[in-house]
Amino acid sequence: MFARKLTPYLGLLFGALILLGVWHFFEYPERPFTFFQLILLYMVSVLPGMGLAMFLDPAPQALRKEFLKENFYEHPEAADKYLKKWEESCK
Amino acid sequence: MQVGHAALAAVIASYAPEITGVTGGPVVEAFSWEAVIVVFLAHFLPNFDVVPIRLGLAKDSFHCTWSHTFLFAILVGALLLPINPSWSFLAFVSLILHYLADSPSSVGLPLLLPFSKKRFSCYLWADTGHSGWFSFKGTYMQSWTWFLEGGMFLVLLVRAYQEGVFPFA
Repeated sequence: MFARKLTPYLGLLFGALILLGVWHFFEYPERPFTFFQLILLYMVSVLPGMGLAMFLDPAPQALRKEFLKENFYEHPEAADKYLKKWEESCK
Repeated sequence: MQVGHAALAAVIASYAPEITGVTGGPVVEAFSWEAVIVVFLAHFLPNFDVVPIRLGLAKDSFHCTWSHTFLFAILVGALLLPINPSWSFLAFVSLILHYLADSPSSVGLPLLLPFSKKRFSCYLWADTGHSGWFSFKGTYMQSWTWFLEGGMFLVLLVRAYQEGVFPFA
């Protein structure tokens, strides 16, 4: 899925930066976030953070370009080709 | 958009008072059962075009066609109008936002059917089908889906905090 081993760690880092942004811009002073709410916010922040990290990774970009060449509605059999390929790469 | 539709629907439900306030009809409360049921049903309604495909009554290419048009949104809104004007407008907004959420997908939406067959898309991610494991995995191997759909879940948490509901009650 990733071409670089650093990508998931970058995702965690970007998630932390997004959390800091949310914490700074959205917290009401009279109702501060609790520790567990911050943990939850961080876990969810990692999702867009991972997306940001994937922008810096060539593998997801290459895969997108490859998928854009196919029309999986007109040719659903194209999906089987990829599923087979992924299965083999897992073995 | 796949999983992100659920987060977007919940975000729309959080804005139910603002949306229904403009109709002059009864105001629907944020995150109320009424808001959640109307919004989720309307927001997911376009994707029920998968049912005839699964039953073998339509081709795969039937997905993202008639149910993803302005005409469909207007029809659903018009059907609900005599029952409840607030529900009608809430459903209409939910449908339009469903189309907006699907617009980055490469399959494109024929929003102007039956007047034009032109499909509208921002091409942010490649569409990998309407359902199944390959569609799911293929979608979430692309960066834009993580960024936008994950971002939508974060917006939902912020809205839950602003409205003071679980887990921020």
